[in-house]
Amino acid sequence: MSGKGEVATVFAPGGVANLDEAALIRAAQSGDQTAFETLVETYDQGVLRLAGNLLRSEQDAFDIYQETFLRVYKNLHSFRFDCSFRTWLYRIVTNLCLDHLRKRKVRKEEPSALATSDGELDRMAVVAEENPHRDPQRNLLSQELRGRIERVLGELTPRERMVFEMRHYQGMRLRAIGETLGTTEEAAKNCLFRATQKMRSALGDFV
Amino acid sequence: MNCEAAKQDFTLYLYGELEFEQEEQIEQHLSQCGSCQAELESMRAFHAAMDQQETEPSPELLVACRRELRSRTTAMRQAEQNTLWARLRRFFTVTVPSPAFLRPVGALALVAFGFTGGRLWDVSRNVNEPSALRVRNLTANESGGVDLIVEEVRQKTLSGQLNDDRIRGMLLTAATDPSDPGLRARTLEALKAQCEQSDVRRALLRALAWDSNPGVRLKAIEALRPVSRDPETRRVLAQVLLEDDNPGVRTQAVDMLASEVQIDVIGTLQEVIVRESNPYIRQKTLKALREANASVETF
Repeated sequence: MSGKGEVATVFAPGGVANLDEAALIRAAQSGDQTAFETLVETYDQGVLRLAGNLLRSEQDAFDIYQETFLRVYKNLHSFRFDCSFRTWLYRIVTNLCLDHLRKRKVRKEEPSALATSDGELDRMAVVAEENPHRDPQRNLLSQELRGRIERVLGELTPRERMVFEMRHYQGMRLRAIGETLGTTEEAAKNCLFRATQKMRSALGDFV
Repeated sequence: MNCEAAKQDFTLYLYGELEFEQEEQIEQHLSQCGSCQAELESMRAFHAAMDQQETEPSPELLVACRRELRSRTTAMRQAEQNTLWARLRRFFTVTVPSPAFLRPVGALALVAFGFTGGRLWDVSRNVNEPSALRVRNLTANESGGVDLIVEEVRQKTLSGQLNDDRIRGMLLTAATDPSDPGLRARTLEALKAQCEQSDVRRALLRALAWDSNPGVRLKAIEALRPVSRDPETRRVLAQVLLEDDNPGVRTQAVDMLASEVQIDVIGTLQEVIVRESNPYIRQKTLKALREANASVETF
């Protein structure tokens, strides 16, 4: 549908759109607000998708978005091109999300079932109902399967959850995941194996 | 390759993380092993089920995030400037008007400032170019006076046509000046005549999509009217029609999109019927859909 599910990226005036990324970063480092916003526009949909998918809450995703890009804004002067900007940015957002997931695990603030006046309701079912842009095919999944997937995602360790998210949904290579999370490609691979095995075994006959 | 080795590699195989030769071995094994084919199908079903769990952030959320970020970074910049001023003020409050013996130094500073200023600047400055001086540092000199280090901020009038690259470049910068929405609005008004130029059009679209001030967004949309057939403009108009929180901006957007309904906006207009509560916008949208022989419902 036109105008839905897509937000036009409007490049900046003054030829900023034509700058390559390094020049854009340097311009932003020297205080050019337009260059900073163009950088944000380049990456922010991915950041928001990552946070939303991991945290399953628009409010939390909003908070992570703000915290991530404010940190970028404050610390951009210290970016020395030792790695790609994307890696640097994803280090920030993944650390924030991991912290959030860890705190949530400690608090156990999000049970997979919600208590409502109509009895217990599966959290994922609520998310799906609230999302006006849901893919109609999603409805083909049974409520029970969705509930199980949601529960098993909640049972993964924050790190397993993150690696699975980055590989499966963000399409990042294991090498890049390792670099972003400050570990090796091999460790990222093992994490992905564990996450996949846990989920397949929990889903059993459903898939 | 045996079944156990093949199954171990299925995860990496499905994610395309194997080397070419390893993939070849797996595919060769699969062509001969029904049990592994079934296992791989089961993993594909697992992937498909997980794909459906992915959530896409709504465009409204993205717009809200961007606006909030702009507002926070603007506040941070202004706070930094205030802090610098505050520091300068504190410096002078503490250092200059202190004990009585320093008063002659202060007087001398004023005299020296006037004298030096008169000599250096009266000659060169155009009366139309007022300037502001900031004293950044001062030291007592050997002759009993003071040496001031000053920073001069000059204002001057630049005149030129909009097709002058220098003038246009300055206007494009002013169009994003975070401190003054009035200036941004006047700048967009001035740029309006050049909206067919791609850099100006982008500045207008950027203001329409990003600016936190509805008055500036209204000015931008008004300036974009002559280029309402441009595909990029229509895309941003559709976005605004669905997401802008100001009914005035949405009204302008629907007027422009509905004046010539094309296939690219039918879906947006149908979505407006679902979401919109403003009666004028709903009525205008319904009329546009009927004229285009389009259904008023989404499927």
